[in-house]
Amino acid sequence: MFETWKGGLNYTREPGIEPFHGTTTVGIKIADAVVLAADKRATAGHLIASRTVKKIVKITDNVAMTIAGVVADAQALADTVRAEMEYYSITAKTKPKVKNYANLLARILFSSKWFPYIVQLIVGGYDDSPRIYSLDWYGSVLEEESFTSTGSGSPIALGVLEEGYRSGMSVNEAIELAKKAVKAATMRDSASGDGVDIVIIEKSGSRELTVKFT
Amino acid sequence: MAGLPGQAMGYDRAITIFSPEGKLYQVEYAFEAVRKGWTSLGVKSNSAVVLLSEKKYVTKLMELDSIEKVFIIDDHIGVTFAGFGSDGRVLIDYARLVSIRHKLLYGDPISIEYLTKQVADIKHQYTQYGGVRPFGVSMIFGGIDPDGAPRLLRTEPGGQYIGYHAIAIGMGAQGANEYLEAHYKHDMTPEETLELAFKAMIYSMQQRNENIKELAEENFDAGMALVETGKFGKLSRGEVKDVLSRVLS
Repeated sequence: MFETWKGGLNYTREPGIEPFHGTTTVGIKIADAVVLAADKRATAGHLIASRTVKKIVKITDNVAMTIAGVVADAQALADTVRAEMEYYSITAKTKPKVKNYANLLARILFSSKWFPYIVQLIVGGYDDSPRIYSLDWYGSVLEEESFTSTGSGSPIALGVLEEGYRSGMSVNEAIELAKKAVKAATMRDSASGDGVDIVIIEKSGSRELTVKFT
Repeated sequence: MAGLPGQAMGYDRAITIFSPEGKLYQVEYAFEAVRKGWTSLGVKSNSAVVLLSEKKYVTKLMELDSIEKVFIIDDHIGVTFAGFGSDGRVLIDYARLVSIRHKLLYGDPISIEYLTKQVADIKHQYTQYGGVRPFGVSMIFGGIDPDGAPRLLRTEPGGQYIGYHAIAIGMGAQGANEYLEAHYKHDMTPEETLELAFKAMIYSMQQRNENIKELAEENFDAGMALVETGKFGKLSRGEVKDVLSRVLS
């Protein structure tokens, strides 16, 4: 599906220099927390380029973002948004909400619609309540009420989430579900694998977990 | 030459040149333009923020209703000013732009202090570059912040901005400020806040020997933001008439 971004241009695929595309990321929102999860594999064509990639980027202590797509694009976006919002929160004397981060990202993505950042992002965080937003490379932004998944493994992960998510889940249950969803995707999607990174964002702050597959 | 005042030495010719006393004369003169303008005032209580301005006949056939002195910037912010009308108008347009751009970029309404700061930044630029003159206006931004707090801030021609509980600017500033200082309370209903604003304005008019008996609703432009709704709106002629009759009786 990433072939469509070129907007009709003929782009010669060269195995080996293909940017990192394959990924499974998951975002789950429960009553008092957000759980973000992602696999740890980076691929370049048929090569497994890394087994220890971190696909969840912390933007501030209460906002994080999962990356699917071209890593350089996602990192550039994360750095820009972090810098913009840091400056904004100092000059405007306000603590930005998760929505503000998602909205700014969407503006940047949309403004480069014809030469896009090739990313699918899940922005998760806690302001006055937990929130998750999903964004695509054209700049659409959607607030998700329960869960979402992006990347090449997302069809598989979504099946697991659809089956396992229920309202009133505890944080630990949500972590287990996120783990299960990413793991299921890694079993069938060759571009995802090697382990799961998990970031949990609660009112008190955020923490990280890593589970390696052996 | 040594005994001559700064003006005579030519320190008021360019805005970017300090006089030996540390003054920027063009900026000082811009303050004078504010002091000569129609009176505008703002009052903030724990329930509302009121902006009020006076309007006067300069010539008999003027249409006072065509003059606006209190402006809506956004759903939650209003502004009034004293000084050069044209300078005020341009800055109000800019404030509206800043406000709407904030909504577009971040998805949420702007805070009043952040808006005021950005307008004040423009004013400051016009005191530091050659070939320009300072804005001859002082503005009072008032409204309810997105977090629900009432705010009232005033900008000066030099680019300084300060928060107030109540402040009057323009030709009647002295009298109105005296009245506000003597009668201000934090704890007021929206109606009381509105009445205090009108009373202060009328007090300053009396001090300037104006004919209070001939005052009509067309002599005022008013707006109010309510903490309860978080919205800023202009007062209709009928609403101004009601307050006026309550205050003058």
